[in-house]
Parts: sequence; structure tokens; C-alpha cells
Amino acid sequence: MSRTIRYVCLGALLILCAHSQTNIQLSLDSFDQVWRTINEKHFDPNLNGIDWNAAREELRPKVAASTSKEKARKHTEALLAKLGHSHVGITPAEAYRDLDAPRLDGQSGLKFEIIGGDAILANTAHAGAVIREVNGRRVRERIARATTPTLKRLAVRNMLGGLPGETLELLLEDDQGKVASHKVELTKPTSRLAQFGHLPAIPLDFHFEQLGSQSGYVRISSFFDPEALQDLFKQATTACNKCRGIIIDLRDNPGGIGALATAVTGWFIDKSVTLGTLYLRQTKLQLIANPRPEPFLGKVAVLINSGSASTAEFLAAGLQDIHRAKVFGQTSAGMALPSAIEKLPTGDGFQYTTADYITAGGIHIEGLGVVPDVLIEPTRQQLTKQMDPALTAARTWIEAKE
Amino acid sequence: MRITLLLLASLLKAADLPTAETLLDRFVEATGGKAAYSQLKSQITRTEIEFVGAGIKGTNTSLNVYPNRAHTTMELTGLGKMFSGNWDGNVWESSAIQGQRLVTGAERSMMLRLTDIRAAADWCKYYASVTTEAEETVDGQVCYRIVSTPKDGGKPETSWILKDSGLVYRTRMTLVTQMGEIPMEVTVSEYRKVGPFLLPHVSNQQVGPQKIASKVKEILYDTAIEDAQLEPPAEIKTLIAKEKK
Repeated sequence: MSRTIRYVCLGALLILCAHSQTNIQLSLDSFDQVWRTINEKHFDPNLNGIDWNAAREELRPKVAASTSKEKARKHTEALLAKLGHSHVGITPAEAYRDLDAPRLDGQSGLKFEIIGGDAILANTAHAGAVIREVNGRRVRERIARATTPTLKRLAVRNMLGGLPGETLELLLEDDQGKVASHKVELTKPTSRLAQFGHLPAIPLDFHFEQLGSQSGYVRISSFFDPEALQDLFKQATTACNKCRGIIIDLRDNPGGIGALATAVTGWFIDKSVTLGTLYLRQTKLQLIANPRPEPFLGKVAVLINSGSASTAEFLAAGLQDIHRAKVFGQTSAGMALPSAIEKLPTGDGFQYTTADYITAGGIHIEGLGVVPDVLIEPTRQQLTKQMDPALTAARTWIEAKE
Repeated sequence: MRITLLLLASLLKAADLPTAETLLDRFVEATGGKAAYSQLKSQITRTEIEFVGAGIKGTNTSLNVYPNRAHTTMELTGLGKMFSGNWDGNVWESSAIQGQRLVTGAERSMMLRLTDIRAAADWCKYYASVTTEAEETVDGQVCYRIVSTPKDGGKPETSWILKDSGLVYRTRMTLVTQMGEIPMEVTVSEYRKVGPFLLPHVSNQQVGPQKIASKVKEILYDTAIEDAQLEPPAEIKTLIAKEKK
């Protein structure tokens, strides 16, 4: 009897070992796929001078010795980090959930700006208050740890996220120094979800409204669903055909399908233009925008901030370079490289760059960002009054008689 | 002396190879024959496409009427529908991404060649010269490598033709697009007879860094295609009218 139990235990142990071996093999296969893809497809065959073979020799044994998929993933991410640019990374398999499954996209509805190392609320009855803590976690410390304006912004945004139905406990300090606790329940996103390739589903918020009789306002949360985007700009340019100008709000827009920068540009030009050049390993390609049949040829203002990245930067930089738009706000993220996403044997998503991007004006915005024509840093006093100084400045410029 | 011998040997070897003209004519015979091609009036092709590894799939439907009408609808997940065509020699494209435009220059020439359903038999119409370069083994199959130079000034195309069957196995060419030139390699397989023609039903393309796989689901020959099915969108018609002025 005891022998039988011992065999059963031994068998169970072997199964567990086999399971672990399989997981590690999947992690090794994933590491190899990542290494090989970068080696074969990265736009720079010299990989900016990195000894890619040495990187494999350093990190592959660490993947092999990992005791979990998560630990193995860290070493694959370390391999990608050696490239030192944006648009490379691993999305954990857990992020690819069924649409009905719980998602970390609960929305607080809170807007904020980072001023002097603090996150300041920009809306609700508490506008102008400093967010001291979220669920007991100190916000200022998280902001201080992040190294760039974009990462600081992301750190706060992540703290204000969670599962729909969850409650956030905020510790807010008003402009009189009074500290009080407030609860905010996270709601389900009201916008629909866009699905593209191996990206997890992304909430899509397209919005148009007319601001008085002179200005139109279009907000794009990300660049997906080309047909819906076409409908949005058709609506905006038709409804606003007598407006003096249109404002395109790309703040906190992380990008999306790169070619949609040219699609949007087409609504504001009367002849084909180049927004920049993509340098692939095999060839170089021009980002060309073609005019729409009835384009809007009035003034165009673009709003950006440190959360505007990738396609949002192609569009802002492109329109700025060809002198078709005036850009207002804060310097963008400087994460402007075209990329592709494929699935790894572990089920994780693997994003890698396919090209380098130089604007029509010859600027390499990766790492630098798009610098606005009119740099606007909101003040706490403006946020307390729920003012939007970038939008106000853009509207004033559009409506000015020149 | 050694160089002369090598030169002589290479000349003798080249002389052993069948001419490219012979190989192309043999391909036409193997896939249906000149007579069948010369009577072909229309073709409908429905294909499934996959951007390998990228999670993007879709369908492609091409309607072609000889000599100069075509309408293609490509629908891809997350990207929507993209249309292109040829309306009496006016080559066009229309999509939510690229907008609407008339295709011109080298890009137009290439699209005309690629949408001509009799192009295989009418290769003389499109190529200024064809040359057999070598016999070589590709993916374990013995092939003749031929180079065809387009008349319109396009870059030379290299094709590998299977020695035993006379069928094309692979073509390497430069795709001309509005954005620029993109290297492309197309490898075909699973030739099947549909009506009088033998056509490949599986195609694997390497377009720049992206692999694209496609499978033919249906091919119809000489079925009625209404003009309404081939007409470009109204915006394209406006562009054509503007161009004529």
C-alpha cells in the first residue's frame, strides 16, 4: 500500500516536473523567437552597436534557470531593454482576455495634470486638489520614481485604474491644505472596444462637437478602426465647413495604426503631402497623405501632452512640419517607432519595431517628442477653475482675425 | 588560359539551358494553353488572406473583365474594406486609410500588368526581354531561374520555373507603391485545375518584413459580371472626370 502511495506521489512529482519543464521550454522558445525576430527584422542591422549574440549568451541561461513563466519573462524583457528605444516589449498572456472577462479598464473619470511633482485633479468638485494617496499608496513617490514625463503620467493613470466595480480611496489635499478622503467607484468603459491584430481590446473614444460658430473640436483616444475614424472626420469637416478652424485633441492618445496619421491628414490638405519617412531594413517608405474629395482648408490646431505617443506624434509632427497645423500643449512622449505585434509560444504578445521614423522636416522624434509651437503648462489655479488652457489657447488662435 | 576555359564552360552551360521564351511558352501550355487564354473574358477570384503572426486575417475578392476593367475588395480584421480597380485604364484606390486616388506612373503600369487575366500568355506585351540565367535547386526542387525585364521601365523580376512540370514556383520582384518600392517574393503551390486552367491555390508572400499567406477559395471563369460590380466609387469617378478636363 505504502509503495503504491509512494509511486503515486512520485508520479505526481514527475508530472509536476514535466509541467514545469514544458513551461520553461515555452519560455525558452519565446526568448529564442524574440532574439531571432530582432536579429532578422530590426530596422537597424547593427542594432545600434549592441552585441546581440552576447546578450543571448547572458540572458538565455537565466530564462532556462527561471522557476516561473513570470520570472522568465523578466529576462526576455531585459533582452529587449538593451535596445533602448520604445515600441518593444512583452504583453503578458493574461492581458488577452475574453471581452466578457474582468478587465483592468475600470474608469474613474478623473482627469489630472502633474505639476511640481504632484498629481493635481483637473475635474470634479475637487478640481485643483493634490492627489496624495490612492488606496494607501503615495502618489508623489510614484511620480518621483518615474523617469520621464510620460512615465510619470502613466504611473498616476495606472494608480487610478482597476476593475470596474472596484472603489478607489483617494486622499485629497485642497488648496487650503485641508486633507480629506474621498471614494470613487470605477465604472465600465462606455466606449466600444477596438480589436486589432494581437493587441488586447482597446476602448475607443471618438468625439466631435462644435465650439460656438467658429471652431470645431475632435477628440481621438487612439488610432484604430479606420472606417469609424473616416466617419468622424467626414462628420466634423461637413458640420464645420464654415468654421474658422478645427482643433484635433490628441492628448493621452497612445497611438495605434500608424497609417491613420495620413488618413487624418487627408481631410486637411488639397494635394498629396509626405508626413515623413519610414526606414525599414529592406527599404524606405514615405508616409504619404492623399487629399479627401472635400477637405477642410481652414486653420488646424493640434493638442498634445506627454501622453501623446506614436501615431499621435506622426500626425502632430507631420502637420507641424508641413505648416498645416499649429501645435499646442506639452512635449509629446517621444515614442515614435512603427511596430508589429506577434504571439509567442507562452501566449504573451511581443511588440517589436519594424522601422525608424524621420519627420518630413528631417527630425528624429524618438526619445525627443514633438515640441509644441505654443508650449502650455497648466497652473494649479487654472485646474481649480476647471480651465483647459491648451484648448483655450488653440480656440483663441483659431478665432483671432488675422 | 584558365579564364578562357571557364568562360567557354559557362557559355556552353548557358547554351544548354532552355531559352526563357521556351520556358514561358511551356508554362502557358502547362496552365491551359494559348488558345484558352486568348478566349478568357472574365475571372472572379475569392481568396482568404492571413498576415502571418500578426493576428490579421481577411478576404480578397477580385473581379476582372478583359481587357481593362477590374474591381478588388480586400477586407481585413481591424482595418475594414479597401478597394482598388481599373476602369477603362483609370487605375484607382479607395480606402478609409489612403483616401481616394488615381494611380499613376510605374505603380499604374504594375497594377495593369497584375490585373490582366491574359498576362501569362501575353507576356511579350509586358516584358522587353526575358533571359534564362541558371538551373538551380530551390527548396529541394530543380528549377530554371529566369529574369524578365518589364517594358515600362520597372525593375527586373526573377522567377524560378520547375524543371519537371514547367510551372512557376517562385517570383521575386519589386512592388511599386505610392509609399515607395517594397521587395516582394511570392512562392506558389497546390496547382489545381479549374475549368481549362491549372492555377496555384496557395501563395506565400514575403512583402518587406511581413509574411502574407493566401488560399484560393473559389475561381470562376467567364461568368457574367455587371458593370455596376466593376464601377469605382463616386469620389473616384469625380477624380477621373477632373483628370479628363
